[in-house]
Formats: sequence, C-alpha cells, structure tokens
Amino acid sequence: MNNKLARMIIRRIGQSIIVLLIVTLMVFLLMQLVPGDPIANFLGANATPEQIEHYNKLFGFDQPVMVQYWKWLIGLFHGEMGRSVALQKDISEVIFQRLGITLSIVIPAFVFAVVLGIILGITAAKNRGTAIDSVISFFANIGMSMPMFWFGLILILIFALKLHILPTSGFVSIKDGGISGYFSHLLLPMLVLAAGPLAQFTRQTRSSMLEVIRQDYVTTAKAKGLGKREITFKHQLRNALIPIITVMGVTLGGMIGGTVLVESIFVVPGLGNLMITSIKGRDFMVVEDGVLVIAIAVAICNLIVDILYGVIDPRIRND
Amino acid sequence: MILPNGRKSMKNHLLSAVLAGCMAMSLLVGCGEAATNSSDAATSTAAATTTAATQAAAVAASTVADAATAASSTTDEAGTPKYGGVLKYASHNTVSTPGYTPECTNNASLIFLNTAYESLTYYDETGAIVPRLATEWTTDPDEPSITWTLRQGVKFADGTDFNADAVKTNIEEYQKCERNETKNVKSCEVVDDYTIKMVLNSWNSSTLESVGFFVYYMSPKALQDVDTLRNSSCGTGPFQVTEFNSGVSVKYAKNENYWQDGKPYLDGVEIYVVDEPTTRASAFEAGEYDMILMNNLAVANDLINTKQYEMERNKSGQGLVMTGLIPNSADEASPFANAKVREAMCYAIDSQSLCDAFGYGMLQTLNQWAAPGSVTYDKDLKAMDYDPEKAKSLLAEAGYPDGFDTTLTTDAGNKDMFTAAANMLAEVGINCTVNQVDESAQVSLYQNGNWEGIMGHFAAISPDLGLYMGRHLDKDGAFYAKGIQHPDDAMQLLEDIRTAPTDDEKIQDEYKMQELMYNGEDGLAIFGKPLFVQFEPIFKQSYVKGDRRSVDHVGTWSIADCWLDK
Repeated sequence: MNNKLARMIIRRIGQSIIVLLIVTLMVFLLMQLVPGDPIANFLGANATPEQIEHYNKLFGFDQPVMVQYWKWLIGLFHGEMGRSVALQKDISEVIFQRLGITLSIVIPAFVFAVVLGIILGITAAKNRGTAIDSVISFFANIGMSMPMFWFGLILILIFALKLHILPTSGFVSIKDGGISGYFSHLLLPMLVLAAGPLAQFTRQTRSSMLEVIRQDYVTTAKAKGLGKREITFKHQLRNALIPIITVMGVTLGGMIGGTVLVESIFVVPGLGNLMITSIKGRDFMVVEDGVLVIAIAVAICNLIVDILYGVIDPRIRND
Repeated sequence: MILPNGRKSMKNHLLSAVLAGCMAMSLLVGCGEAATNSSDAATSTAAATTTAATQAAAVAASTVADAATAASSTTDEAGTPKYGGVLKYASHNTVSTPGYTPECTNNASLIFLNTAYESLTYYDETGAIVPRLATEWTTDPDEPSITWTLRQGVKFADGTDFNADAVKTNIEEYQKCERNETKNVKSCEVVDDYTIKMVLNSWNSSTLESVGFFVYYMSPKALQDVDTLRNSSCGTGPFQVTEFNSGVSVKYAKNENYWQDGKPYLDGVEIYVVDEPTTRASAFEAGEYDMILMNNLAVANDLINTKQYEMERNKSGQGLVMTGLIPNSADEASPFANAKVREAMCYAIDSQSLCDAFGYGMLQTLNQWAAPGSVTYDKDLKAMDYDPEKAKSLLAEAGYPDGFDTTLTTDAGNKDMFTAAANMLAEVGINCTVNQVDESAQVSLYQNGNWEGIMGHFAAISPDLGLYMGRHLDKDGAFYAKGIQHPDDAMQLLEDIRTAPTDDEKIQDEYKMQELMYNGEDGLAIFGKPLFVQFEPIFKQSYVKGDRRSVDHVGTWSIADCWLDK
C-alpha cells in the first residue's frame, strides 16, 4: 500500500473517532432529554416505587448523567457495552447478533441493487432516447418515489397470500433453515430494501455513462476496432464509476442504518428493529451502542469508498 | 439493435413490452388491493370514521356468534383430543425473560409465564379463585396469615419436587426483586412438606390473590443459576422453553414431568412477537400462525369481514385494561381541582358514540372501574352519562360559565378517539389543545403526575379494587398517583377494602368505592371518565381446540388442554 494511501487511511480513522465521540455524546444527551424512563417502561403499569428504585440502582440510572456516560465510554474500551433494561442481557451479545441478521439482508440487497442497477443504467444510456431508455427511467423514478411500506405489503399480498410461494415474514438463518429456507425468507425483504437503491444506481449509472459515451477516447476506441463489450466495461464504465461509487458508499451506510421499515414489515429481528424498540422503550444503552455501531459502519463505508477512488482512478492515487 | 433500414429490431420492442407489462401488472394488482391492506393510519382512520358505525351493526351480529363461540370453548370442544402438533401463536406482546418470573411484572408477559409455569391458584371464567398448585387454603385475618395446602405429586421440569420449601424459596426470591405481590408477606413457615403458612405484616384482602395468582414457581435448583434461567425455564407447567430469541419468539417443548396425566396434548408451542398488525394478519391468513391476538381493531375488522376465521373476545374482564380520560386534579391552580369541573368533563363526553365510531363493535363502554358482569361491577350505579347541558350548568356553578382552555394529551393509538372527545368537550366550553406524545413520554407523564389538563387513563380492571385501584389511588402509587387528589373518604374506603375480613364485606366496600368515584350526583370523578374496555380479539384457525385463550384471565390459557384437530 503506498504511503499516501496509508496516511490517508490513518487520518480518516482519526477523524472518524472524533466524529463518533461527538455523535455518541449527542445521542446520549438527547435520550436523557426525551421524556420517558426505561425502568418504568420495563416494569409496566403495575410497578411500585420500590421496584423502580431497585432497578434504577441496579442499572446505575440513579447516578449523574455524565457519570453514566463516562462509565459507558470506559466500558467500551474493555469491550463492554452495558446491559439492556428491556432485554436483561449484555448489549454486545444482542447487537452483534442483530447486526449479523441485518447484514444478511443488506448485503444481498446491496449487491443485487448494484449489479442490476449498473446493468440497467448502462442499457438505458446505450439506448438513449429509445423505448428501452424510457421504460427503465420511468421505473427508476417509480422506484425512487415508491413507499417502501406499501411495496412490502404488495409483495406479501402477491407472493405469500395469493400465490403461496413465499412466506409472509420472519427470518431463518442458513443454519436453521438451510439455503432454501434462508433464501425464501430473504427474497421479499431484499427486494423491498433494494428497490430504492436499485433505482438510484440505475439513474446515476445512466447519467455517468451518458457523459462518458460522448468522450473522444470512446470514439478513438471504436475507431481502433475494440469490441463493444470491451469499450463498455473497460473504458466507459471504469471512467463512469467514480460518482457511482460515491452513491454506493452513501447508500450502503444508509441501508445498514435504515432497515427499520423492512424489518418491521417482515418481522426480521435485525438491528433496525432493535433500535426502534429500544427508542420506544427508552433503553438508552442499547440506543447508544446501536448508534455507535451504525456510525462505525457508515465510517467504514466512507473509508472504503475513498480507497476505491484510488484503485479505480490512478490520478487520484498519485495525487 | 438498429436494423440496416434504420428501424429498431423486434427484439427491442418485445423486451420493452415485456418489461413494461410485468411491472404494470404488479402495480395494478397492488393498487387494487392496497386500500384493504395498507396499514397507513390515515387511510384506516378515514375508513374507520366513515364505515365503523355501519360495520358495528355487522360486528354486533357476529358478537352473537362470538358469544356462542366463546361458550363452546368453555366446554370441551367436539371430538376427542388428538396428540401431537405444535401450536403457533403470534401477538405484539413481548417478554424480557420467559424464565425468571419475578422480572415479569406486566400482564403482557403472563401468557409466556402461563405456558411454562403455574401459580398456587388461578381465576376461572367467573373471576373466582380456584386451586392449581395449591389444593386448599385458609385465611386468618387476626393473626394475620394464609395457610396453603399444596398439591402433592408435582415436580418441576428438572425433577425437583414442588413442596413447601420450594414455595418459601420463591416467595423470598420475589421479595428480593421488590415485587408488590409479596410485600405483605412477613415470613413463610414450613409446617410440613405440603403445608406452608405465610404470616403477613397486616391483613390485606388482596394478598391472597396477589400471592396466589401472580407468583409463578421456579425450581429452587434452577434458581441457583439465574442467568441461565432468564433465557430458559424450569417450572411445573405443561411446556418448557427450548429456545428464547428476545423480541422475536419463545419456543416450548412438552414437559415430560407434567403432573396432569395424559397432558399436554401438543408436542410444543411457539409464541412469536409480531409487532406490525398487518403482517400478523397476513401471516395468519397464509396459515403461518394457528392463533393470533389482534390489538388493531381496523385489521381485526378486516379479518372478520373475510368470514373465514373464528374470533373470540375475552368478556370475563379479568386482566383487561380500561381506557378513560383522567384530569390532573392535584394541580390546585387547575380548574380540574374542582370536583364540579371534573363531573362536567364526564357529562360532556358521549362514550357510546365514541365506541360506535371507532370501535368496530369491539369496544364495551364502561361507567365505573369494572367490566360489566364482573363481581365488582355495580349494575345499579347511576353514573355520569352523556348530558352536555348538565355539563354546562356544572361548569357555571364551578365559576367557569364561559369554559376554559386546557390540554388533552394522547398517544398515537388513541389520537382519533381522543380528538373526537376533545370536540365534545369543546361543545360545553372546555377547549382542549390535543397534544400527541409517544408511549414512553406518556408513561413518564403519568408516572410523574405532571400532565397538563387531561390525558388517557389506562387501568387494569380486574375485580380487586383494593389491589388495582390502589396502585393509582395510593398517595405513593407508581402511576397517576401524583397527579390526582387523595380525598380522605376515598383513602379510608380503600383501606376498608384492603382490610375486609371476608369476601362479601370486601365486595360491599368495592361497590361503595364505585359509588364514591362515579355516581352521577356527587361522584368525586378523581379518575375522570371511563370510556371503554377492549376485549382483546383473538383469531384462531378452526382446528385449534381447548385453549380457553379468551375465557379466563386475559393473560392465561389452558395450554395443557389445547389440541389441534388436524
């Protein structure tokens, strides 16, 4: 790895750590300001003042806010993320399990959206002004504006209730349900999650390709007698990739943190589902740790994007 | 591809046509169905407002069928129970631990506990306490104490004997967790292996039911490793936890050590947490669940309209939660500190109209702290029924002839109904600004007692006012207590209920409390206006038998008697 790239990575990691600290402090303080008590939510309407006091002491909620934050921060350096009030479990155990489930939907959805989005974008750009271009662009616009919730319910109605070929909801790991069980439960949530990004990648690829198609070096490559496939993928796409990769990085980070709706519709016990339940129940520690994990994921995505710029474009690498 | 003559190839046209056709078809199908399946609140609310009243009549007709269905489920259903199968049940309720029972403090988690654990007594469909792990009991208000005779031949799932020592260990465990139900137990004396005397701090008529029903017995051996127990179970119940996925599901397998010979019939039970009601209903319709609890009335109404499923509703009132509107009377500067203003508020609201408009026929109006038909329900009570003219005259008497401005706080689920109530209040001059908050903020408001004006009142209406009303009326009660007045006569009556030496005297005192709070002439109206109780619609596939899910206490079922007729 060249020195410039290594320095860039180290600098970015340092910046990310500062951002993460600021984000977690802001979230911690915001959760304290929002009305609601995790112990009261956990114990329910039948709680007595003694019970509430007992659990407040058990979880350290009777201590000053900044003391709680500091203890949490120190705990992180020891690999401890605290204990969930609602789940009565160590948060690290729950968060990484849920993250794994979320990623098992997000990554296939992302790959699907990228691959199909790029193919459709190239197709639309190559057939600019034709019916194909119109149709692809039309459905890309619909994909961008279609409500995820509605789309999910439609898919459930068609494929689960009418055709009975897919389950309505739930998540099954490969270990529990085998490949077929996993994929049958994955398909609908993946399609819903991928719809928006697919449309975005299609539009961005089309737009980038249209700029590149008109370039002189493409004309030169054609004149040299290079094959269409070689021109498209080795010359045109490679030059069009920079903005596409930018969108990919932003989208992936957003998908990891934004699976709440999909997990809610399809009853997927992922990180989004955990976050929304914890916010509603004011389970501060889980929210705090969840935000941290999502923020780290977004930071990693951005870092990968920056590295890929250098890989794809030698001019950036040597800059 | 462009042909030599400049025209596009047939291939291009075909590809475009197929692409467009497929996507358009799915959109058209979706649009046609979306209105009935969308869970968009605005859509369903608009539908609710315009059609609920007319549909109420249809549902009322199905109520007769419901009653017949419920009645048939109270007796053994037709056919001989079949062994085998796994019952899959889904609801929005979750549990933090299915195994360490002292930490399950709300009614929503009882269904999980009742699958793997048992208590000394339980409630039958009339609300009477009947034996379960205890076969008989005697009370001594003078000592004061309760002596239990325990059922013999019962073992925990790990083979440990259920006996007096196990009971003592469990009571002490509950006390360590500051459980209210065991607060009044001073000590447990083991008389013999199957007799235990609980000496109380003071006589309280609620202690028998609190200890009898709300303490679920864990194996003392399993209690030595609480962390493991939290994620599993070890009780005397018909099933035991095999897998616990927090917030997702709890799976149970048959307890081979179960004390009832020949039971359970099922091989296992799986309880799923499905928060989204539309998804839950879809999965039920697709046959993925055998039974569901449907808390969303609009979705429940859709299921009823398919005419394909049995719906049952718990009409016993046990464990149900009443919804009402409660004014903050503790704030001396507030108009609601005046009893006449609180009465005016009650007279201004037409709870029957609200239930008809928003309830799809699935809400039962209340005028007191009890479900109709329950032992503490005073059917002769003349309550504060809708009378806007009386409301206006009461306001004038209280010094508010032109009314006043206030706030009505609501959560998302009750927003439409409470907004309608606010409109009714406005007609008599009580002008409410509707303030919507989320559930946690609402809990905080009634925990701290600092809500402004009026807010939703949610209270368990099981027939023991000393226990359930006391949680709100006690000066140090955890909820609502800091936001209401505590008049001396009400506090004395509460104490009388708690110390009543016999059930008959207790019931008479409870009737007096209903009168004191809710009577139409001079009721204190401390708890404001009771609006309705929702009878927890349960839908099940036709082959599910014997469960009694909606017959006894709402948090229980006879899962040992349940079988699948398929």
